[in-house]
Amino acid sequence: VTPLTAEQHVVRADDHEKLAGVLEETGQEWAAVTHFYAAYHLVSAALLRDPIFSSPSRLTAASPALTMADQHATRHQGYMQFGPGGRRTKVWGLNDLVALLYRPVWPYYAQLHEGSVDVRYGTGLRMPLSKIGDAQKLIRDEFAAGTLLPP
Amino acid sequence: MVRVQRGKRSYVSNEAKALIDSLGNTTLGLLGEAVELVRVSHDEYLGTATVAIVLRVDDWENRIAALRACESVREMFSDELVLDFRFEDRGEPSLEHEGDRRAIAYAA
Repeated sequence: VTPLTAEQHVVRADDHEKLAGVLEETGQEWAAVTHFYAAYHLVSAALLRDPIFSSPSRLTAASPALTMADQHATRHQGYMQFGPGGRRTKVWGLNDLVALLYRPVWPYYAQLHEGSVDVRYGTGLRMPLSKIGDAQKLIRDEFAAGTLLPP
Repeated sequence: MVRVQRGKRSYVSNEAKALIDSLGNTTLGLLGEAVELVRVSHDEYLGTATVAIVLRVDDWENRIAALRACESVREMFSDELVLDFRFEDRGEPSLEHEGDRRAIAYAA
């Protein structure tokens, strides 16, 4: 998949949110999946626009394991890999980056992700769909207000 | 605090076992009365762990509060593990024996 620009991520987030609205009207649990991907695209856009990634000193202050390339992360969960000399380095996932950089919204993002996993791979959504929708709208509003930024 | 170990295979390294014990007990301690059980599933090779939390009352507000409490857990272990948190029902040990992952449960 060709990497998206921040602007393209925002458009895709809007597309997913609109579909979530349609699915919610008939109580379809798959709305949780589209709500999650709306949030996924918004945090992806936030990472691409985040000035922290053009400041090595701020990156290091946030985490010594963070690099400029990490703003392009696409996987959900990260992992540790063996680097030169057997040293372990972190491969960041979006869940981890949201927890590190956008902490106020992380619990909501984590619940959106869990809801999406429950619908796709589990026995179905276990939390009220209205709460899932509210969580995504919270992230959308923070993004729109420009407050989805590291402290 | 009672620790119950499940799993057919023993840990490859005592260091990893100690790390997971610390993660499980730290999470349990931070969540306090709100939690009934914590299960930690760990992949030593990938350096990942999933912390499955069984809340006494599993609702949205309690989940958000529990995740807020777990922010410091994530920070504490960030040099050694990539953590994922999820919520489970008491009788839902879905994380055990996933490939090479090993799971340990910690009961309050």
